[in-house]
Amino acid sequence: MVITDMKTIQDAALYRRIQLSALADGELYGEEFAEAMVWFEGDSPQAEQTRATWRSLHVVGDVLRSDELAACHGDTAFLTRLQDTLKQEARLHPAMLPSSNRGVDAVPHVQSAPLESANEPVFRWKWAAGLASAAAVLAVSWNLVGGVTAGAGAQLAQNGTSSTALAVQAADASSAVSQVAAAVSNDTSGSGAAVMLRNPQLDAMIAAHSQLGGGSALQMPSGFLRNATFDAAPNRSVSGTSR
Amino acid sequence: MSDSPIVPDDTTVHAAAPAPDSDALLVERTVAGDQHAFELLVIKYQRRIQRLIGRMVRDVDLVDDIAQETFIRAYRALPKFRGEAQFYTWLYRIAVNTAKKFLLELKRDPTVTASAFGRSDEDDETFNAKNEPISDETPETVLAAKEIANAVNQAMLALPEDLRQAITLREIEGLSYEEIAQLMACPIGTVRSRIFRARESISAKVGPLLENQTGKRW
Repeated sequence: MVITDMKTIQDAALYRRIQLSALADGELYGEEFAEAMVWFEGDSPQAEQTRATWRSLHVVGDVLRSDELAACHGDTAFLTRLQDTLKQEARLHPAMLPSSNRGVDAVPHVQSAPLESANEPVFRWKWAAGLASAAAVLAVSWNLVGGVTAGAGAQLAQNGTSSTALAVQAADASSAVSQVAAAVSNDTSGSGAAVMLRNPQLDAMIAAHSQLGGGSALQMPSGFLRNATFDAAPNRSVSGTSR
Repeated sequence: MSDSPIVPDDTTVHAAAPAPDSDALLVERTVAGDQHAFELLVIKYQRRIQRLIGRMVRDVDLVDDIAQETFIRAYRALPKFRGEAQFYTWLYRIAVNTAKKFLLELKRDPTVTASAFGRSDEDDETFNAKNEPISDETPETVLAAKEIANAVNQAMLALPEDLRQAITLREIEGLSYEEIAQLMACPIGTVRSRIFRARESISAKVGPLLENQTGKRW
């Protein structure tokens, strides 16, 4: 009976060594692989023996491949030291803990604090930057529009004589075209860039026939007048066709 | 010195040999949380990594520190390892980069840079030590290495032909069991048995010499 038990134990040990030899060559798969991995778990004498066998297998392999490695015998203290460090690593990275230890050695979770994405603060700053940019654009736009309007009005007021005369002459037409033309002329005269002689009759005629007014008639760029002219045309055609 | 990352992208590291990747399952298991699997990889490659680092640094006391750091960096980066290169190829690069970083920080000069940086992994496996002196070798360690090498050679010569052929094809040529079975015209189970018996026989003769070397590295 004893002999049988010893034989069984020897067979089991032999089986282990054969399997470990195959494992060292990467030739164990599936259940055999999983079974072999279990032998390494724990600090039992069997596990230590398994590790020693594993080490011996690789020492022999290394020595066979290189004479130099014959004198390079890895000591177990190296592994012990590394194991200690890895345990600390495992505490820092619970995902890499052995599955059997998860939830036992893991650092307790603080569930009250919701996790936020790593770039959350950056995202907030992007929002702030966007709002600030929008506010700046609005402020600049407001100043430009308000500045043009106020400037034109002020110039009209300052050049009271000419602008008033023009306004009286064009009162029958009472169109914005002549006012704008006068404003533009005042603007240029105010800046001293050019002096334009105005013909009141011509202005009145242009005012009466606004559809003919344009840049060439005023001898200056007048985009607004051109647009006003084009805007009027479709209305007529639409009204004409609707009849 | 370049600013290359210490842990290389394994897509940029090409596998050195078409040998079966014996580490893939251990890597996979480590990433799944089995620390024992990583320990097996450490035991397997500890000597090679120490020898590699030993060629690069003067201070023998630093070898262990750099090797430790190498394995820790590898452990941290293992989830990013996609298995497109052999594990050892990847580890080798980490070791070289870690050693470079240490040397840079300590402002020390590597002892032998050209051989350590320029060789491929195939060369690393079959490297001939006779032409490459190790800075910290002593007469005792040189003698011990010679004794062990002689013992291995004698153990190999003493093996039956089929065992010697099987272990040579596996350990030296790096063939898989299937390839060895085809070459030797025998079942894979027979290959497994022959390789095991060869290792047992060699280990029985070399083991005592190696035990005497415990605690010594070079």
